[in-house]
Amino acid sequence: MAADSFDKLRAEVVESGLCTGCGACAGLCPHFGWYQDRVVPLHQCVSSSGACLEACPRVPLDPAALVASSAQPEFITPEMGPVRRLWVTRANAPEVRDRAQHGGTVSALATYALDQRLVDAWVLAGPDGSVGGLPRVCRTPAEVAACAGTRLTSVPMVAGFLELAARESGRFGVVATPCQCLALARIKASDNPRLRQAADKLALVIGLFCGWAFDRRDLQQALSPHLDLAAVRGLDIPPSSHQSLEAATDQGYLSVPLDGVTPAVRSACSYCFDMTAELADLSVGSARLPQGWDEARHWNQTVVRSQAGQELVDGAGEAGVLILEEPPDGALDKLKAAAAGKKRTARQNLTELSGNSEDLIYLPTDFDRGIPSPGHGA
Amino acid sequence: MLLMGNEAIARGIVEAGANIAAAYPGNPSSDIVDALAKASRDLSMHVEWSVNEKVALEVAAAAAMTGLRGVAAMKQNGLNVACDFLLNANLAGLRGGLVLVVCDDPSGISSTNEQDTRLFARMGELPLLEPSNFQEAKDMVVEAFDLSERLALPVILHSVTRLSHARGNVELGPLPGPGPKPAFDRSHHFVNVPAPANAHRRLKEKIERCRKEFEDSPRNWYQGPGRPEVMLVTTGAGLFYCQEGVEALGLEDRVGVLKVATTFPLPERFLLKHLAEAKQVVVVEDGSPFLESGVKEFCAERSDQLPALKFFGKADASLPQVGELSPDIIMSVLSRLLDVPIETRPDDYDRGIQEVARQQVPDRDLAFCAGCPHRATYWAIKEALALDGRNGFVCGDIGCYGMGSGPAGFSQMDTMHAMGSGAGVASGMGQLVSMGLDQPVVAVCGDSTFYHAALPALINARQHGSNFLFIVLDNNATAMTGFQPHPGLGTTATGQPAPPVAIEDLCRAMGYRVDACDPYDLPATTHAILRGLEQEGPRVLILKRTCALVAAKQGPSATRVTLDAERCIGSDCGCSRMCTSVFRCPGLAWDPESGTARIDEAICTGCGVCAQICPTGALKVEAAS
Amino acid sequence: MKLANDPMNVVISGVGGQGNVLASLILGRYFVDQGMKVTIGETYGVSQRGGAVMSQLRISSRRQPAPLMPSAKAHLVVSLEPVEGLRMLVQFGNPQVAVLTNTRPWLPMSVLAGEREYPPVPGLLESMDRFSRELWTVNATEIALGLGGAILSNIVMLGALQATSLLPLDEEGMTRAMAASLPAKVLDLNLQAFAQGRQAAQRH
Repeated sequence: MAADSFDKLRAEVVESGLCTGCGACAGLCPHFGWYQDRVVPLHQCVSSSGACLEACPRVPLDPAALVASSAQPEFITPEMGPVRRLWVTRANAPEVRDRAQHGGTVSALATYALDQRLVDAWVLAGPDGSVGGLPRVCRTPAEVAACAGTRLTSVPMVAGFLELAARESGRFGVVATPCQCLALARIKASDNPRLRQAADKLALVIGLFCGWAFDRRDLQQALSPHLDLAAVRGLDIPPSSHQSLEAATDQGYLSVPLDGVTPAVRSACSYCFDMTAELADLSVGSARLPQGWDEARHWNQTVVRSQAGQELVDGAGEAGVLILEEPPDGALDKLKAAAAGKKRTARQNLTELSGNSEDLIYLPTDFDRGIPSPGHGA
Repeated sequence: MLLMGNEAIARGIVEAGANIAAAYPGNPSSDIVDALAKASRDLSMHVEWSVNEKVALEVAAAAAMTGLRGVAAMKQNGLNVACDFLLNANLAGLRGGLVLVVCDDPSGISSTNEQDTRLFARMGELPLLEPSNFQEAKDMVVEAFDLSERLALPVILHSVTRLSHARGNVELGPLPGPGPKPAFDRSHHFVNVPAPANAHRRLKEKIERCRKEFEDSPRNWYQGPGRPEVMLVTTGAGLFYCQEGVEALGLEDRVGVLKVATTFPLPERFLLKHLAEAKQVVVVEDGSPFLESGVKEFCAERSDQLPALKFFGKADASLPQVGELSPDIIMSVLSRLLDVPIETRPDDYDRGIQEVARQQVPDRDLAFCAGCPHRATYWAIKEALALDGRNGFVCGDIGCYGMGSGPAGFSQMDTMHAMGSGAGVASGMGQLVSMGLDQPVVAVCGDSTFYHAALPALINARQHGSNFLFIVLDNNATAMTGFQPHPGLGTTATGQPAPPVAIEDLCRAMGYRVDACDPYDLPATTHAILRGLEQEGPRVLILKRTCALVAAKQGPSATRVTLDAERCIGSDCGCSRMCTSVFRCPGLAWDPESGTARIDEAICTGCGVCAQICPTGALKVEAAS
Repeated sequence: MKLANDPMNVVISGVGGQGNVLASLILGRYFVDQGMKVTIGETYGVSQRGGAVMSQLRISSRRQPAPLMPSAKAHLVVSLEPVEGLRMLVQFGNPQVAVLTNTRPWLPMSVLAGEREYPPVPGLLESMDRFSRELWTVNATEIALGLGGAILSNIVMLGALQATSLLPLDEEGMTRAMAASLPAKVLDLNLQAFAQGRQAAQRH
């Protein structure tokens, strides 16, 4: 094991295939860099107590302890972290929904938060002109709208936030995937003064449900035989029964068989334990409705997790920006089951990687404590 | 007067009344045409820096095909480029005088290789002259021209670094009067076909005539006792070390020195006369055992006329087979053979000073100059290749930018062979993609090297659809060898204006997509390289920024760099001395007392590249007042 | 001219860019003017790139000396930089050698980078003193900066060298050699540097 922080991250995270591409290290340190969806050790650093290690979401850490340190115990669930409330939601404004991939919940909340001066700017994943995304600083509803749509590759949002926080003072929000929320939560929980400086500017984190992300270069290669990549406006994965990837183009939806693109999934995603962004203030994902996908695609489901998250969602609902509806029966249980499934898969894959069921690389062996095992209990 | 060996050669060229002098720069030969170019105003001589050594030799030969005198100068690698012409001109003959001056670099002090070009004389069956001091370096140029005209053959004058780049006493000779007017005689074809063997027969006859001339050359002589215990047979700079060694050990009565300046073809009667007196023979020469094998071959043929001789030299490793000669080497071989001690410094002095060396004498790493655009370029290449993430690699070649292979250039150059080989090797690498090579291929090339030898490789790559990114490191200079003009600069060796031949135009004409960028703009350069790595098909990125040394001569920098020490976080996390420890520009120093960087204003050129890597904005560029 | 040693072996050392070559050229021209045979061997190639550079100036009344001297046979080391003076003693030093050194360090890359410390100058001088017959010092860079540029350090060193009497140098001949080696418009400034150097040489 290397002694220096830089060597440790390089060997144990980047080279071992665990790196999520969140960019926390690169946002803190010029010895790391990011490009597209890759975060890369660039120049040897000799510091032995780097802040990079305190922000990285793939060095040994305890997610349950992080949850416990920030959430009220009565809301904590073993499968998906703190849950105050589950809603089915969508933006009230049709033009917001039209631009968005699904219900436009994130766009509506982000715009509302700007209007209400809850944040000075958002860091959002915007389009990069191809199949990937870039972190963008958005200060106006128009800039938020330009970032609407789902990115199916990792976008180094934590780097984007840290670079903004290093440049400017203010209160910022970030829309982030679960791994990125973990990095942001580590930054908030740290007492390292460099991380504290950034944490003090982090006002809101909207998490996104995430099954996995594609490797940008592999996805490009996998899609290029099927699609004109320049014409793609957005990509989406419908419910698993569809077995396809949907590309929104100016001419409408095009479908690509999922078999062809699954080898392009980023290897690091198989070691992720979090589907619902447990460490966010609130989490948003696509909805699953009894009416089927053609209806559900225009909705989201939203998990309210923290006090700040609740204030934002309630406020947006009361202001008529966001439509809040009760979720269908059993929706929370279905989500919990899916989230528990991801934790099981992570345990399996990490065990395979370490070759030892007592060594889960970056997670404690009891990281999923409290979840009834599927074969035996509930 | 005191002249550098190369200046002495240049003076010899003037005294010989040469009409054309052409060369491509390369140390240790560059100063010859540099000196002629400086003096050109007073000369009725055409002096040029040619595009490469083959063209230089062809240009010089034109004079010799019209009854005039031409000379081409080059370093050892240069003759590799020129030898195709040379090995036809030997058969085709001449009507005037053609002298090829080639300067070898034993030990490769300023070279990428160590080779002995004298073997070309044997291969081409051409007269070879090896001066042993500064006076001879001048005088033998004149003699070489005379010989060339008498034999109608190119003559090779051979020097080494320790003669070419050293200075010594030279008595000047008179300058010639006006020479003949050039005329091409169409009754005399310089064509070896249809029967090159006939031309070869004529060459054999000429070289035998040459051998006879060499028998009486005053440049060959013996100095020492009759029947010496050891005979040192030497040539070129070897004579210096032989005389030094004999004198230092007080062996004047026991050891003789046989100095041979005409090492091909060998003067046989001369050798026979002196070797008949010998017992033990040590052949002392820089480079390969060239004279040694010639002498041995001769002795084997004449064994009936010679005593049994015991040979020592490079063949049996009595002298080191690689690296240059020195007085120490000769003293050591004489000490062994004659069992005489070498006076050394006291043991305690030796031990003590070695200990001091370990403690108090830090190494000096080579670095790119402050403000050198190559440092910025290699930084961008390093970051771009890492960010691209496919383990791309860099094929390069020769120039200041060759230091990219070492720490100065963050070890970013992976192959380095001949001039223009970066493009040629990359042209091949780019074909291996179809066989599964999944690493991006990059070639780098300087501006002067581009014209010299990269062009054919680029044409080849274009024709065969080779997939690589070609980066031209265009610093508006042939910097490594002393700022000689090249075809892109709009000037000639003698300072005459010339139409510039633009690299960009040539690349477009070959069908390359051309992108250009200022390497001082690090983010733009890194992104241009990243873009280039992802593109396919023929593509060139020209990184254009004038050499910092040239820029300094053109005037003061428009910008200066300042340090806001309050913002410098030094070795703290988040920087960890990025500028001094990683970027390593000599204009920046780590100041252990303040724990910050420090700008050395005497060295800093104000280029501002460091300000782009400073993570806290402590380094700033501002307009120079 | 009678030399204390024949050939006289002088090493002139420094760092690329310090004007080492010019200093050896001026001395060489001086001795050629005095009817001597002079050979100057030089390390080239790194002269502009911060590397250690060294000229071997060899003077003889009898024959053209070799461009390289034997190991451990220097009679005099003139160094434009203290570490470089000591480096030369490692290769060419002996108990009889005399040394004249500039006292101002020129930091190597490893020191600029903070990877190692420059050895303290008093210690360097002590070592040079210990491994030589006599040591002379001059802060040539400081004097040169006072005259308008570090580039004059090499000429200050030559002035100091004359003061040491380690080589038989006369002022008139040195002025001629400088005039032959420098552009006319900077000759006066260089003569000033030479004169100030002569005042500043100190026996250690």
